[in-house]
Amino acid sequence: MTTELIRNFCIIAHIDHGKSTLADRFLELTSTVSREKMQAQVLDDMDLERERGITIKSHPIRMMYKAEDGKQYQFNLIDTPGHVDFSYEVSRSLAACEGAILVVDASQGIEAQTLTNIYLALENDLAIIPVINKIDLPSARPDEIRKQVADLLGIDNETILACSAKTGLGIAPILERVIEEIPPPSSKADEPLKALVFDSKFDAFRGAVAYIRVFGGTFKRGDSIRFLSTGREYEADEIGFFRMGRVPVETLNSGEVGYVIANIRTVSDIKTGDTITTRLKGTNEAVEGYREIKPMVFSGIYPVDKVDYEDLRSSLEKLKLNDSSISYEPETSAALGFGFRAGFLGLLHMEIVQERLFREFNVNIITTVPNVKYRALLKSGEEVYIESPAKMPSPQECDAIYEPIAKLQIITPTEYVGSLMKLCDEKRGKMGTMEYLDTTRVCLHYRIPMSEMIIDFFDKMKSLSKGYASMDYDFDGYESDTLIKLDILINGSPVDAFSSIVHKDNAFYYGQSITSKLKELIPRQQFEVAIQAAIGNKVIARTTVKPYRKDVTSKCYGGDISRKRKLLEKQKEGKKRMKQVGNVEIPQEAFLAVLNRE
Amino acid sequence: MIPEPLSLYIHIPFCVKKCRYCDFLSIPFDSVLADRYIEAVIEELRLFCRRYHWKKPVINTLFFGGGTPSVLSRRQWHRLTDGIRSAIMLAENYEWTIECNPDSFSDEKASVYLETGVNRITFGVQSLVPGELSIMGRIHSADRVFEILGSSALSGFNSVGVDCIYGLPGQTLNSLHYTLTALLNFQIIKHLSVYELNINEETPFGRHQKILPLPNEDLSYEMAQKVLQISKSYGFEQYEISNFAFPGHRCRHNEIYWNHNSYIGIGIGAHSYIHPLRFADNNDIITYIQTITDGNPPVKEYETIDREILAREIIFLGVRRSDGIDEVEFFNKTGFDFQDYAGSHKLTLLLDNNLLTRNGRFWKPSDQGLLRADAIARDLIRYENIT
Repeated sequence: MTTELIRNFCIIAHIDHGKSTLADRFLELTSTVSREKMQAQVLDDMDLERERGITIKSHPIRMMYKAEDGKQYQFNLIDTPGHVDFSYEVSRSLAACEGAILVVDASQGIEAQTLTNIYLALENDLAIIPVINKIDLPSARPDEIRKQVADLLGIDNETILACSAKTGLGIAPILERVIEEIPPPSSKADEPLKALVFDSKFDAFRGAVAYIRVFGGTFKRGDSIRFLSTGREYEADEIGFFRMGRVPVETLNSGEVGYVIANIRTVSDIKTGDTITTRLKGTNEAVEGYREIKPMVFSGIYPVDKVDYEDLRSSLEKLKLNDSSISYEPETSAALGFGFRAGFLGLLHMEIVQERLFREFNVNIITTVPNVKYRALLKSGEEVYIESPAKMPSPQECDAIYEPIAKLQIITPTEYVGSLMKLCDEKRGKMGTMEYLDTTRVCLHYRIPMSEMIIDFFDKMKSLSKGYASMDYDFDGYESDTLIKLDILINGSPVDAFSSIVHKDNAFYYGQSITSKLKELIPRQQFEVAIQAAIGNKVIARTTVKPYRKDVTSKCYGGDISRKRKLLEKQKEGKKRMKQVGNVEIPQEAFLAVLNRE
Repeated sequence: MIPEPLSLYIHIPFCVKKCRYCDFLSIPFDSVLADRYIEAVIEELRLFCRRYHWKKPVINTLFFGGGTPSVLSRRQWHRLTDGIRSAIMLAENYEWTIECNPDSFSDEKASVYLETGVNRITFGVQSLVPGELSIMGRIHSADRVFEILGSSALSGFNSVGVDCIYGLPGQTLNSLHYTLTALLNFQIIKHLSVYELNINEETPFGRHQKILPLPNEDLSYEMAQKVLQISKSYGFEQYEISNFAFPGHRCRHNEIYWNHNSYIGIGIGAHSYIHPLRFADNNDIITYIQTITDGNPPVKEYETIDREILAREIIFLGVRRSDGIDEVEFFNKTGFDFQDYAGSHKLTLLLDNNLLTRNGRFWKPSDQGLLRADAIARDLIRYENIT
C-alpha cells in the first residue's frame, strides 16, 4: 500500500471527555471489531482501566476504511493515556502520528489537559481535527464550546465537527475529515530503517513487545536490529500490526505502525522514545524528542506482614516487566522493617501501582508519605539527590536544599479564582500569568513546589471549585528554599517512616498537627508514650499518650470464659498488625494518616 | 471417674421485666413455660449424668443464677430442687447459692430456700439511688432493699451478698459512695460484687448511648478506686476484679470456674466444663425444651480445651484475681514453664512498673495491675497457633 492511503492519528482529550468511547465507534464503523465482540472501552484491556474509565497504556490498532472517494485507507489509531502522569507516553504516541483528533466535551468545554494536549500536538507538528463530543447530553452547549475551541485554535467555528460517541451520531464525517486534513506519512522507503518506539507491553510468552512507527526504510522480519539509545542488538523474530490482537507480517513499510518482538526480556530493556534501526547500514539519526523518564514521586512500600516481603519483591519485579516507569530499590526502615523505596511518575501512577499490587498480586502493603526527590548541596561541596526524607543530611551538614518545582496551570470558572489563588498561595505557589479563555473561564499559571502538590492539592482544588477546575503540571527545574527535615520521635527514638521535609515556616504547624494526629491514633498502652516533633535536636512539638488506667472487663464466670478468651486472642491478633517501635505499638493507620496533612 | 471437686450451675432465664442494660436473653416470666422448662432442666441433668455414666455425682457447689431464680413460685421451686436432688448428692460442706431480685423476694421464700438446703443468697441491688434505679428500669425501690436486708429471715444463711453496678448514667463518686456504704453498713452482708456497666449495642442503653450521661474513662477509673477503698475499709478483700469478700466468704462456686475445676451447666445458654471439653447449651428455650424432650442433650457447641488454650485461660483468669498465677499449677496443667511461656522480659517490665508482684511461685497483680488485667493478659498470652 502506498503511503498515500495511510493515515496515522491519535485521539487526545481531557480525562473523561470520551476518547475511548469514540475509538470504540471507529472500530465498529470500520468493522474492525464485530458488534458481538464490542464492549465499552474495548481497547482498555486492564480491569483497572475499565473500572476507573481511564487509559493507562497506549493502544494502537489498524483499521481499514472504505472512504467516500471509493478508496480503501489504512488508519492507524493510537488510543493514548489521558492522565498527566503519563504525558511523556502521550507525547511519544503523538510523535508517531501525523494528526490528532481533539475531543472536547460539549458540556465541560476546554480543560487544563485539553490545552496541554493541544500544545503537545502543535509541538509535534500534528494536524488537529477538533471534535465536540457528547452533544446528546441535556447539558451540552455545542455552540458555545465550538466558539471556545475555534478561538483557541484560531479556526472558523463552522468547520468544527460535533458528535456523540455514545449514540454513534456524526462519526463517519470525522473519518472523512481524517482523510482530508491529516497528511499521509512521507515515503522514505529507500532510506535506512528508522522506527520510533512509542510504547511497549509485556507478553508472558514472548517477552517485551515494542510498539513502533516506521519513519524510514522497510522493516523486515528477521532483521538484525539495534536500539540507538541503549545500543542493544536483537533479531526481529516477529513483526506485525495491530488488530484486536497482533497480526504478524513479513514487512512493515515506511509510514506504518506496528510492533516488533525480538526476544527482549523485560520492558525495561525497551525505552519509550528510543529509535530502532538495522544493525548494518543503519541510521545514526534518532527520532527527535527522546528522554529518559524520571520518577517524580517517591514512597516507601512495605509489606503489612513481614512474611510477605519476598512476595512483594517478586510482585514488583513482575510489575516492572510491563511498566518500565516504576523504579524501586530495597530499603530498610527501623519502624517498618524490610521494604522498598519506589519511584512513580505521579500520584495516580502511585495509586495504580498500589492497587495492582493488591489486586493482581494479592500483597497487602503499607505506603509511607509520598515525597519528591530533593537535591542537597553538602558543606563538602558535593551534591546529592535524596529520595527518602530519612536520608536527608542534618542541617549542620548541608548548605542548601533544592526542591523540584512544577509549572502548574489551572483552568477554572471565574467564581473560584479567589479561593484557588489562596490555595496556591498556601502551597507556596508563585503566580505567573492569568488569562481569560472567555468571559467565564480563567487559566491560572503558577510555579509551585512539587512537594506541595503531591499530597492533597488535587482534592482540595476539586473541592474548592465544586469539581469544576482542572489542572495540569510539568516539571520545571530545581529551586532552593529554606527546607528542613522534621523528625517524629516516639519515646525518644525517631521513627524514620514519619520523617518529612517541610518548609521552615510550616514546620511548627506541621509538627503540631502530626503529633496531635498521632496522639489520636496511637492507642493507650501499658506505659506512657511521648510523641515529639523535632528539627535536629530541637523539639518543636510534644504530646503524650497516657497509659491505660483501666483495661478490664467486669464479668467473667463459667459461661464467659470461652468468649472472653477469644476476644483477648482477637485483640492479641490485632496487636500483631501493629508495628512495634521500641516498647510502643503503632497501628498501621498511623502511618497512613500522616499522609493526610490538614 | 467423677471429677472432684464438681460444681453445678442451674440457669433460670425468667425475669418479671428486663432491665435496660441487660444483654442476656431473658424471658418474661410465664408460669406455664416455666413449668415445662423446669422439667427440661431436670431431664438435662439426668441426660448429662447418664452420658458420663455418673450415678449421683457429689456436688461441692451449687448455684442457681439467672435471669431471676426468685421469680419461681414455691411449688415450682420444690419441683425443681426435688428433681435435681434426686440426680445428685451434696458434699458435706456444700455451698448452695441462689440469686434473688429484691422485688420477687419475700421472707416466706427465704424460709423455703433454707428448708431445701440453700445456704448462700445474693441480691441484685445494683444501686440505692432512686434516679439510678429508675434509669436502669429496675422495678424495686431502695426502701425494699433496706427492708429485706434488715429482716431476720436472712439470718439462717451462711452468707449474704449483694450485686452493684458502677459507671451508670448520671452516677457520681458520691452516689456510688452512698450505695456502697449504705449496703456494707448491714453487717449481714459478707459478699459484694461490683460490676462496671457494660453497654451492648442491642440494648435500650446501647441505642441511646449517645445521650446517656455516662462517666468518662477517668471518672470510671476513680469509681473503681472508690469501690476498692470502701470495701477495704469494711474489711473486705478484693479477690477478683469484680468480687469482694469478708474473710471466709469468697464465693467458692466462682473459684471453681476460675481454677478450671469441673462444672456442669444446666439450662439455656449454660456452659459446662469437664476436662478437656467445654460445652455450651442452646440459647433458644423452645429448641432447648424440644431437644431434651426428644431425648438428646441440648448442646450447641463443643470446644476442646487443649494446653495452649488452657495456658491462655489460666493467665487471663489469673491476672484478674488476687491469688494470681501459680507457676507450679500452670506447669501441672499445661506442661509449659510459666516464665518461658510469658517471656521473662515482659514479666520484668510488668514487675518494674508495679503492675505485677512476685511472691515465690505466685505472680499476682497489684491493685493497679488488676485494673488493667486485660492489657496484661494480652501482653502475656502467646498468640502463635491461634487459628
